[in-house]
Formats: sequence, structure tokens, C-alpha cells
Amino acid sequence: MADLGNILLFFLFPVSVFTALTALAAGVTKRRGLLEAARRGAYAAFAVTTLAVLALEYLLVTSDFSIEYVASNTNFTLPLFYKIVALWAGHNGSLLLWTWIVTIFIAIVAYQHRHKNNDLMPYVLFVMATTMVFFSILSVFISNPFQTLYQEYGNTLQEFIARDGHGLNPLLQHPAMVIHPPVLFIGYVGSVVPFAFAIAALITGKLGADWIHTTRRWALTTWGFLAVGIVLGGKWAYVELGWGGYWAWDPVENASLLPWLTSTAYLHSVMIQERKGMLKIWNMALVIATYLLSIFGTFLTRSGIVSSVHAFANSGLGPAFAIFLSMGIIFSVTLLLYRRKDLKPDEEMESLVSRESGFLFNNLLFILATIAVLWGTLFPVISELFTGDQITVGPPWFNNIMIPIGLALLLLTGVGPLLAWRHTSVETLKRSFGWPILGSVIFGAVLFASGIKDGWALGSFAIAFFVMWTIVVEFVKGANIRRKNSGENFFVAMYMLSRKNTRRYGGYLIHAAIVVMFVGFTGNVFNSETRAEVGEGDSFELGPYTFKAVEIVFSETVNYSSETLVLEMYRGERFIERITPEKRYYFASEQPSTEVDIYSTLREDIYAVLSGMSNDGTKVIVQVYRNPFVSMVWIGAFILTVGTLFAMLPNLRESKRGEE
Amino acid sequence: MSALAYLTGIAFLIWIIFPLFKKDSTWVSLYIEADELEDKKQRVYGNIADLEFDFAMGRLSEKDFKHIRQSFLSEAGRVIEKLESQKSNAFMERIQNDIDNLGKKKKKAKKGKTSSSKAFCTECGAENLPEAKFCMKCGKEMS
Amino acid sequence: MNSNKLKFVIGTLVIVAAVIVLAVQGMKEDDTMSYSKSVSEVQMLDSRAQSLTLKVNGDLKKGSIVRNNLDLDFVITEGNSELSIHYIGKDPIPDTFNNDMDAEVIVSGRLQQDGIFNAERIQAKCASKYEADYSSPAI
Repeated sequence: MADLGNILLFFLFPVSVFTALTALAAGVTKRRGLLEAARRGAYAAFAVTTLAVLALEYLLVTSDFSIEYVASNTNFTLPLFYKIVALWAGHNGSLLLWTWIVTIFIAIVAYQHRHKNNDLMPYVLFVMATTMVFFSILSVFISNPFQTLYQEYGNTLQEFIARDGHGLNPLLQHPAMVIHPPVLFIGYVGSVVPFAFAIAALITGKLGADWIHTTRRWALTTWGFLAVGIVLGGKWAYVELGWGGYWAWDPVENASLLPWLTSTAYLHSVMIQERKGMLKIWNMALVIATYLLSIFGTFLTRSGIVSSVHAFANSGLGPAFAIFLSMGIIFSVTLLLYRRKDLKPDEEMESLVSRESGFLFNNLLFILATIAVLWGTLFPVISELFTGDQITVGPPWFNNIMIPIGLALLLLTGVGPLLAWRHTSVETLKRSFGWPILGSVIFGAVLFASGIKDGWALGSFAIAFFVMWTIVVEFVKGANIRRKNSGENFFVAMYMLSRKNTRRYGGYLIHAAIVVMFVGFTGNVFNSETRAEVGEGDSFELGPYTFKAVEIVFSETVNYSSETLVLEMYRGERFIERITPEKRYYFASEQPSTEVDIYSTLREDIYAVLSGMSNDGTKVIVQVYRNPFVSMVWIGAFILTVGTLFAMLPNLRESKRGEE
Repeated sequence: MSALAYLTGIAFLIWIIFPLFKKDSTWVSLYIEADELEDKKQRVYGNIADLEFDFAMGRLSEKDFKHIRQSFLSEAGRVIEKLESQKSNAFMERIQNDIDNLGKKKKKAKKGKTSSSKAFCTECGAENLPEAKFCMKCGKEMS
Repeated sequence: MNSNKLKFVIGTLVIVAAVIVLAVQGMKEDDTMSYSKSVSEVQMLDSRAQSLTLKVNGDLKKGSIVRNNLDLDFVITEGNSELSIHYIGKDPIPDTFNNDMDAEVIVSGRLQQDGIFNAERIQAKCASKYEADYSSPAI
């Protein structure tokens, strides 16, 4: 079966090359036969890779320990579910997953457009196939998951079947881990589709908004997947890594954030091109940047140039990625420069107080954020190059920049939609912003009076209030206007209103989700914690809560042995909840792991971690964090998903009687 | 097992290469100018829709609304007119091309082109059909 | 350039300048930047280094871990150089951190005058993928 997988995977390489070449030839000669051959190449690439993936799954599920990947990432007693998802647990497998998703997308795109867009399609397929070629070279020749296991015997390397595998890293045995890589990869790989269309538009000179319309759903979908993937990563870090937080400005985390930032900027600036024919070059640049940053993100986690607790060990792929990235940058920039005369704006900016300028500032802030995060992430490399010292910047540096930018962006989400295109008069400004500003100032004053003194937190909550107010007004006002004509009930009117313009109202919903998430982020200002050494019967306090150590339990499963501390949480005399942080030892991998226990409410998370044992073994050391509003981050992410899905729905068309 | 893989792979390769050997045709690109005008039309329609929404939501005075709407509507009118003339131009040129090709087969010996079958735009100098009302390249009215 | 464009350019420059100020200011704060050094490089540092936050990576010396309730003492090595670490941090000690592990350790903190390194953060990675741990013979 391993041989089967190997051969199938190998075929991907010539098929990809063939697809790329025929697609290019089709673009030049405009011959239908060539284009059809390229499409079939895409389908075949998908088929062959899918079969290879299935072959690897077979090896994983049947625990074939003659294959290195299977032996490294699973063990015999690993639950079936984790054997299946071990496909992306290790470096080689996750690269194969990436490649597989590329083939899925090229097949979908080829199929979706098989009857139309002949001018762009050859080059679209060419660009996607080139990406496919690159990843197939990596998967087949450098990081092949079907490699057999070798062991040194004296002076020779012999093939070898391990008696049992090394097991899955305990940190990875968690539901969020399971979906985080595929979701994130879909977000990463998805950026290749708008990129391919943009390049095709540049090559063919068909620089109208066609390529934008065609890729609108792709751009929105991949944005959504990236956002959810990032949040899932945060959730997993929160639950598995045990330090009580969900974001550490770690290089790998930053790598996933970068394409999301440019992608968000694009989703907004593209609206300026749609209404005013401006920013054509800028939008192209954003699409190109998102794709290159996605590749860069994958590169960062596998090259070893920055050290991170998330990164795969240095896999030797660094140089290959660096070459591919450089070629991509040179190629794209050259094309852009070549076509710059045809990308001149159709209209001009008229006023600083207009929706256009709102979007422009939005983009400026996103780009500055991207540059800042990129700078901070690469600083160790840059500083070593120039000063010889490798210097790392920590979370305080990132927060120092990103918090003000974030709050400014949050403010814009409330202000922007209320500005008119071209120019907004002073009366309109007063009418639109008067009440919300007053409301949020009062809200801020109330918070201040109730004890919140931190400036940033107050600002954040006040802005959140302001934005939420404006969003609610949009929905309510819109529904009321509709009701005048349709006589529908309020909620029906609101629903119908939204369904008729899913992009706008889905967008508002996403903004509301962001507001909720910001409330969650602001909770970090008020985090508190305590650490205690307890034996059975001891107790300690945190804030208004008392924690009693009821007992310490030892137990065992097939996979691991565990030590659990049972804590009872009280507020005064009232019992609230049992909290059971655990420490496990996994037999196969001989690795310990900490299982935190979290009691989550809307208002706060009580997060307990077992740190260790006392010297004499009768007591355990437990750390308890009190993190306000963390649930808001997850709830906000859920609302964001709903909003994204809603925005992708087609607009409902109603037949209007007596018009037209 | 490996034999199966090889056979599958080769079958795929044959299936993929097959279209290259069929009797082939090429496709024709649509005029790029028409794309730009289509874009512009969509843009103006979108602007009108946004304007109406902004007005309904109270973000615009009635005077401003009427004034800006009028300018959008006349812009839309101009764009649609240009689009129509372009389409007829394109159609006419296609017919002309076919006629010319037929003619070329019969009059192979004749050299040079007759200048009476073309008109030139006074604005940009581009070649147009004699019946064209608007220039195909820049949209200016032909004299 | 008309006055509108000028306003935009000025607005942009102001925002960019503000961000640059934030970035530079962020680098001046002491606990933000950490200098990465290897164990042998640390030995060669002078007393100036005591005011800087250092990030030192090395291999854990097996058997050197001594736990004192919440604190931890251990030694990391690189080649022939050694560095004694005293961990007083509040984050839980990583799981991959015990006396039997072949672990790569990265500690963040400051070098004290007595040559002991006060670590505030520890990161540990299991060094081996899994090498010849298997007793089963080849096919």
C-alpha cells in the first residue's frame, strides 16, 4: 500500500507540470483542445492526490509501522479518530494535506468555469498548476510521507518495522487541534484563487472588474476560513498549552494573522473599486500579498528561521520556499508594473469625510498592522543580519502597536458605514453620530464610576458600545423603512431586508461579531491569578472565590495514566462548580501532558492548571486564573461564521408589482 | 498493488492527453473595450442603488439626493448608448471580416487595401467602420 | 496636487508617524526585547549583560533538575559550556521537562552577578523524533 501511495503521489508531479504547460499553451494559442487537456490535468491531479491521501490514511489506520510517518505520529492503542487525523499531525502529512487542498481547488475552479471565461481560464489554471508543481515537488521528493522506516545496524541502514509507534503528541490530542489545521489550510490555499485570477487579468489585459466578481465568493470564503482557523488555534492554545492565554504573538500565530490582515483590507478596498473605479493597482497588490503571505506563513512554520513552540522542526524546506516566494514576488511585481497604465483610476477622491476615505484609512491601518506584525516576527532575523545579535521582541511590543491600531479600526467600523459616498454633510454627521457618541460617552462614564479605571479598557468598551449602537440602528431603521412599504412584522422585515442585500447585512453581522470579540480581548486587562500548594483538605482564595481541594485521584486508561486534583469552587457559602485539573502521562510517547479544567461563564473563565507536585509528593501545585470575558472571543467567532455564511447567500430578488 | 497504481496512472495520463489529438478549434476574445464599459455601467447602477439606500436611511438631504441622482442617471445613459454602438460595431466588423476573407480568396493578386472601407476617429485616430456613430476605442462621436 | 489629495497625504503621514513612534517606544521598554544567546556566548558576556533580558538555548543536562516546590534549579549545556538556571517563574513548567528527557530548552531571563541565570520563562522541546528506541528487528 505504501508503494501504491508513493507511485500515486509521484504521478502528481508530471500531471502538475503537464497541466501548467498545456494551460500556458492554451492561453497563448487559444486552442480549445489545450484548455480541455489542462482542465483534465487538474481533475487528474485531484484524483491522484486523493487516492494518495487515502493510501496514507489506510497506512495510518492499520498502524503500518514500517512507514516512518505512521511510526512517528501514531501508536497501536491510539483511538481510531486520532489515527485518522494524524494525517496532518506531522510535517510530511500536513504538507500532503496542503497539496491535496490545492488539487481540490484547482479541480473546482476548472469545473466551475468549464463553459465560460475562456480568456482568463488558461492563465488561472497555469498559476494554480504552478503552485501545484511546487508543492508536489516538496511532497514527492523532499518530504514524502510514504518514506519507509530505517534504522542503523552497524554501518548500514536497514528497513525496519517498529513494534509500536511513537504516538501522537498529547498536545495534539484535542478536538480543536483536529480541525484547526484543515480549516487554516483551506484559508491559506484559498488565497491562490483570487491570486490566479488577478495574474490572469494582468497577463491578458482584461483588467475590468470581471476577475473581482468571479472571485468574490472565494475571497470571502477563504477570509472566513482563515479567521476561524486562527481563532481555533487560539482556542487550542488556551486549552492545551496551559498558560492561561490564547495569543502570544508567537511567530507561527503571527504567520497566520498576516494574510488575514491583508485579506480583510482587500474585502473593504474592493468596494471602492466597485463604486468608484479607484484603487485598481492597490487591490491587485493586496490579492498578491495575501497569497504570498500565505506561502510565507507555511514557510515560516517549516523553515526553522524563527523558533516557536508551534513550529515543526527544521525540515530543510526553507531554501525551496525562499526561491518560490522570491520568484512569485518578482513575477507579480513585474506584471503589475507592466500593466500599470491600464490600471489608472476612473475617478478621484472628493472629500476627507466620505465612505471612500473611511475605507482608505481602514486599509492604511490594516497595512500598517501587517507591516508591524511582519517586522516584529522577523526582527530576530533582521537584527542578526545587521547587528549580529539575535533580538526577539515580546508581546508587550506587539500590544503597544496593535492595541491602538485595533481600537482605531474598531472605531472605523462604526463610523464608516454611516458616511456617504463622495461627501457627507455636517448635518448628516450630526444626525448619524450625535446620539451614539453621547451614548458611548455616558456608558464610559458609568463604567468609570463603577470602578474601571484603565484608560484602554474604558476606551475599548466605549467604542464597542458606539459601534454596536450604530449596527443595531442600521438593522432597526432599515427594517422600519421596509415595513412602511411591505407592512411586514418587524422581525420578518429585518430578515427580508437582510436577505435582499446579504453582503451589507452579513457584513454588519460580522462587524458585530468583531465588537464582541474585542470585548473579549479587553477582558485581558482584568486578568488575575493565584498559585497554591494544596493537599487534600486545603483551600485557597482568588477574588471572591474560595477553592477547596477535596481529593487527589490517580487513574489509568489504555493510553495514559493520570493524576487529578478535585477542587470545589465556592462563593462565600454557595457551591458553584467542581473543577478538576489533571496531569497525564502518555505511555507510547512517554510524554506528560497537562489537562487544564476551565469553568466558563459569560462573565469570566476560571482556569485551573496543575503545575506539579510538592517535593514530598503529598501535595500538588495548582494555578488558578480568573480571566474575564474570554467566552466573548469564542461567541464572537461563532457570530462571525454565521455572518460570513449569510454574506455568501445570493440576494433574494422580489418581484415588485407596478414597477419597471 | 503497485501494478494497479501504474495502470491507473497511465490511464489518467492517456485520458488527459486525449484532447490534444482531437480536431481542434480556437476561441475568439471578446472586445476589451466592451468590458470597461460594462464595468462602468455596473458601477453607476451600484452608485444609484447606494444613493437611494443612503437617502432612505437619512444620510442625505433631498436636494443633494435629487441632484446627485440626476448626474448618475445621465452618466448611465451615456454609457448604455456607447455600449449599444460598440455592440453594433463589433457585429458589423465580424461580418466585414468574413466578407473580406471571402474576397481575399478570389482577388489574391490585388495588392493594397481600399481606403474607402474605413473611417478614422478624429479624437484618437483609431480605425472604425464607415457606419460607426461612436469610436470603438475612445467612445467619441464620429464626425 | 489638489488640496484634497494633500489632506490625505498629510493624514496618512500623521498616522504612519504615530505607528512608528509606538514601535520605537515599544523597543525601549526593558522587558520587551530579549537577546538570544547560546550557553557559550553567555559565559563570555560582561556585566553590562545583566541589565538585559536574555534568551538562552541549550540542552538540558540530564539529572540536573532539582525541584523546590514552586521553584526549579537545573543546568543547561552546549558543548562543554554549562549554565546554572534558577527558575522562579509563575508559568507552569512545561511537561517535556523532566530528568529523563532529551530536551532542548530555551530560557528567558537575566544573568545575575553570581553567574546564575534567573529564568522567568521556560520553553522546552523534545529533541529526538524517535531514534533507535525500538528493540524489534528488521523484517
